[in-house]
Amino acid sequence: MNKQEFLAELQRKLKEYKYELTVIQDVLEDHQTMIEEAVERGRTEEEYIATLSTPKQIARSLKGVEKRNEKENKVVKLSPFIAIIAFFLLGFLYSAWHPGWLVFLGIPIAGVLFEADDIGEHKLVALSPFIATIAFFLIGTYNLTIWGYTFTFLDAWLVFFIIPILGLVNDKTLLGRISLIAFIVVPMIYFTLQVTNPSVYNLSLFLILAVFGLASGVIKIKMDIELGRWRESPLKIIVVAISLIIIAYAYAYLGFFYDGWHPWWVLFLLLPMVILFISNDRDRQSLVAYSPFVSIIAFILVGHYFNAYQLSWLFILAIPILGVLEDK
Amino acid sequence: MNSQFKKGVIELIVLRLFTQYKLSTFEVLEKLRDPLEVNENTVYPVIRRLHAEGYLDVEKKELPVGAPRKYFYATNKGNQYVEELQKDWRMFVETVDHLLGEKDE
Repeated sequence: MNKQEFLAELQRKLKEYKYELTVIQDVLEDHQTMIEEAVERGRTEEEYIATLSTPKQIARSLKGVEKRNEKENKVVKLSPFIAIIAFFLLGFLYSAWHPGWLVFLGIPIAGVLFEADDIGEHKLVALSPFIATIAFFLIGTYNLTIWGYTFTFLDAWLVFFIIPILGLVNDKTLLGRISLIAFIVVPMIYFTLQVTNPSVYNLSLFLILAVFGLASGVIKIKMDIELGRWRESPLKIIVVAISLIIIAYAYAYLGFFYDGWHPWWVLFLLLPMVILFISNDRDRQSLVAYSPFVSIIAFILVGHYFNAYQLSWLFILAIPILGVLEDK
Repeated sequence: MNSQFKKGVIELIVLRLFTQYKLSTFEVLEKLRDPLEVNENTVYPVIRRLHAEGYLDVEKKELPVGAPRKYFYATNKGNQYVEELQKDWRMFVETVDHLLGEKDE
């Protein structure tokens, strides 16, 4: 291992152990200088690094010394289970399978809120797709009425503009400011026109936004969102975003045309699987990591279409079984 | 040497070094690695803790490139603490010797 590799691996391990950012920075700097001092005294990076402990050992050795963000971590770990419980309560008690599935968006929201410390001001931007999705379905499903006007899905999609708007808030350039105003004003004008004078042609207003969007590099901002460890690779964020869009379309299609709101919400469980699949972390590549999602999909689909929930819950047992099998 | 033994005294040895010299983490590791057969993951956390608890202070040397070098030295508090530790250690060794000696008879 050379210095770069060693420090990168050390950083990853320290993050895994959830040390505070200042601690991580400090420990990395210490090791960097240690290696530099060794090189100054005529040793090679590789040679000296071989005498050091492994990144994993180092990260573990600091456990008793440095504080860790464990509490938050628990919220994140529990969030899938809380979501599932909430979902079933909403479903069985209130028949609200749809839009009750929205509670699953609480999982990535918890992740962004508690885990992605290093994205700072981008936090709100990272949360915006989830917030927008929730707002979209709630407004569309419950046909919120304000001042005598009833909102439907045909208006609700406008909430997705919150994503570029939040993305642009941090852009202090003149073009960024103008774009921000455009992204707020144009949807408002469109909405007003739709209310007073509905027409498909009103949509052409959004061409203005396409120009501003491209010019001010909203697309670039979206790529810059540093979501946890994917920050090395904007490509991964794009893959995830595209997956989300495909899943959302597939779900909307099955929902509107086949009334498949339930059980096809399980499609959204494919998203965390995509994220697992493209993450570099070897620990997360194991079958155990996928098992909760696969089990729930199997449980729901078999339960629904064969009317056999009383048997299909056995799929859930695959999670602990695989966990035991893979535990070394 | 038995690693359980080492764990107990490493704090004393490390702090003692810092009462005598201003040293970087690298230098401490160099000094201790061979005689004690200790690894970095035993020594490094101890230095961090001693520093956090105020037994060590740090002197930073800026370099034209890269992060500044940190050289640690014992504070007054550290000097007092090392005396205590040393006293404890001597008493402990005597007691252990005594007990071992008794068994031989």
